[in-house]
Amino acid sequence: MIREIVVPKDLWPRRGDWRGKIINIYVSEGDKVSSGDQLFEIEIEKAVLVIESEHNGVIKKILVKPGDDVRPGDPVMIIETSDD
Amino acid sequence: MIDMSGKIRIRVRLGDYYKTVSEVVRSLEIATVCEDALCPNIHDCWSSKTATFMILGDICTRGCRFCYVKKGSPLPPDPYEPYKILEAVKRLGLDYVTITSVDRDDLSDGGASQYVKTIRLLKSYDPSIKVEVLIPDFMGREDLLKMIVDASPDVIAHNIETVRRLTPLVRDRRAGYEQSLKVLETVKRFNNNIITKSSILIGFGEEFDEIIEAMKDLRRVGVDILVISQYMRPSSQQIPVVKYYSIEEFKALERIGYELGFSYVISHPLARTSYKAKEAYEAVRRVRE
Repeated sequence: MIREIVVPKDLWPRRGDWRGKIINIYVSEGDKVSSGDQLFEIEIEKAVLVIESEHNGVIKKILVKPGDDVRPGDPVMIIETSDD
Repeated sequence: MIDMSGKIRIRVRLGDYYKTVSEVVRSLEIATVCEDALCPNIHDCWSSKTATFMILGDICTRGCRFCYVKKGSPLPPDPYEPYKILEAVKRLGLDYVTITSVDRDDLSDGGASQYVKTIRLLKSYDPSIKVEVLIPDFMGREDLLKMIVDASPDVIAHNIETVRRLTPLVRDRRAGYEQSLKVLETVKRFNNNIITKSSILIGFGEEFDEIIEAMKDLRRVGVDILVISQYMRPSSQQIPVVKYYSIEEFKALERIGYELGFSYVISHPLARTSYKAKEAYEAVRRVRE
């Protein structure tokens, strides 16, 4: 199944007003990933969020680059999952 | 883990337990301080199926300069709120419940009666449920503190937040270092068996000796559980971090805390008042037995 990986909007579900910047992307298009693999990092004022994959699959497309400003819910990658 | 800039790195993978907690608090329209303060531990706690509920709404009447909780004019208290908390406790199967609130200087009782209703409802549902409350200072009013103590929560926490000198800079002008000490002292005077707890955030520019002074002051008023943690600026709207402390410095403070006689000390950059609250409570019970 094709899924969108987004900046987690459910991390602090009632507060969608935080903002961040993509600082690292650990995968490339075409890479196979497993659940728990580190995908990318977002720096927010308070911390650095290290986003891990929730699925096994293949990264089909990366929609951001380091330095991009992001907010909760913004799409970051497209993954074709193999565990649905 | 702390990176080169001093910022904490948080691993995020929203698993099933996390989504369960999220679904429960969202469907019941309950506020949690985990969310409203952008707590860095939310992932850790919710994935272990624990959360700290925030009663009396989500808008605080005070304007402490380190805090991310929304400020302004709050709505009247929700009379169904204690029942919503009970329902969440049932759905999550919690046996240790941590509750805090915004400050409600607009209410004649500061919100004390909502605390009492919530504690009593949980205890009447299941007397074995342990309840920890992290309370505001209630303007130092002893009648309101007595109401809370008489509702018999198992732990009463009230945070001193910072050292004496920086209190006017860090906290709302209606809060006070001495007033917070008095709150903790009064709770113990009303019921010496209730476990008390207080947190100091560090990183605002305090001197090491000032932290020790605050620890001694908290011990002098009988505080059992001490929490020391790193201030992390939630957004550009709050005051900047002056210093990120090392793990070794936190360890040194923990050791000093035990030397001063606290029954339990949590000293870690990511520690927050309700973090691993059940473990701290159980440790103090063991010390007392």
